[in-house]
Amino acid sequence: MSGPAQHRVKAGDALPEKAGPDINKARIKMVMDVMGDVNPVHIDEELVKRMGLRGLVNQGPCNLAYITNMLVAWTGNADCVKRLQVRFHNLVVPGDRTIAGGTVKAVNGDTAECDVWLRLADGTTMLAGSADVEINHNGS
Amino acid sequence: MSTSGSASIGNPRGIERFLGHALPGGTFTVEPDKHALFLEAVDAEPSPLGHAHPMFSFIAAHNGMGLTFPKFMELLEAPLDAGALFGQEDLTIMRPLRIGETVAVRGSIVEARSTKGAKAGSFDLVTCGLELIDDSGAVICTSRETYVIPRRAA
Repeated sequence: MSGPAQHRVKAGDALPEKAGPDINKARIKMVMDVMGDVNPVHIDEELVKRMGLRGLVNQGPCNLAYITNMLVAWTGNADCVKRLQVRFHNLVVPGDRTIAGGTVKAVNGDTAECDVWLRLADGTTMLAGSADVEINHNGS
Repeated sequence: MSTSGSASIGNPRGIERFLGHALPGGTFTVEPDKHALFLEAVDAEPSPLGHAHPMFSFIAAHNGMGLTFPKFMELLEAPLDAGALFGQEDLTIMRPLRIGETVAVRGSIVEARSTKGAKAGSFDLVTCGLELIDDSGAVICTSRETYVIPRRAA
């Protein structure tokens, strides 16, 4: 497998942005089923209202997955993510349209160290952090 | 725990006492149906090599730590509806999980402290340090997941 990331990746390169999927209650419920997750912040409208949140909470692993999907699309390698460190700044809720992106900070051998983020269209940062990404994958 | 009704969820003995607490651990299997459902939910393509989505390493560590979410909240003396959320994640993947693979999970609480934010008020930060171990005994992933647990005044 090869991907666009193999071509002269250098510090300062912007990662191609990738829009996330529609976020809705049905998808949140699907991930609750996958994870066996019963945290009521994903399903209890009254609770999230009491907590002053904008809506039901999209699961953290999904938000991370949107960043991962962006990195996979960039590299063409489904196993490119070697390390992902992120801080959850804001909650993603149904109706949000997310965009994942980032910047290459450094290249060390086959690894690109990247700043990564997940934002809304208005620029609000939902997640931000760093990722170590394999950029020269031989497909083995 | 000293409580006086459902709104009283302070932790007078201090969250710090959970530092080093060993989690029960267990195993996690990447079930093909659930994996496919996750790919659909996050709009991801399947790996051509039959590997699980990288976030399944996170899910494996989280789900295999041996405590359900209600039990984890119970351990920390927080109600289920405390509004606990992920605050940070630090995931290192040495090798991808394979669909159908079963791994062992072990870990402990590696950070536990109380803090206060201008907007958020009082809350606890609790970090679980988790490892995925494959059949050969190799650690194939580490995950440090930090929960933010709001604490209302007792």
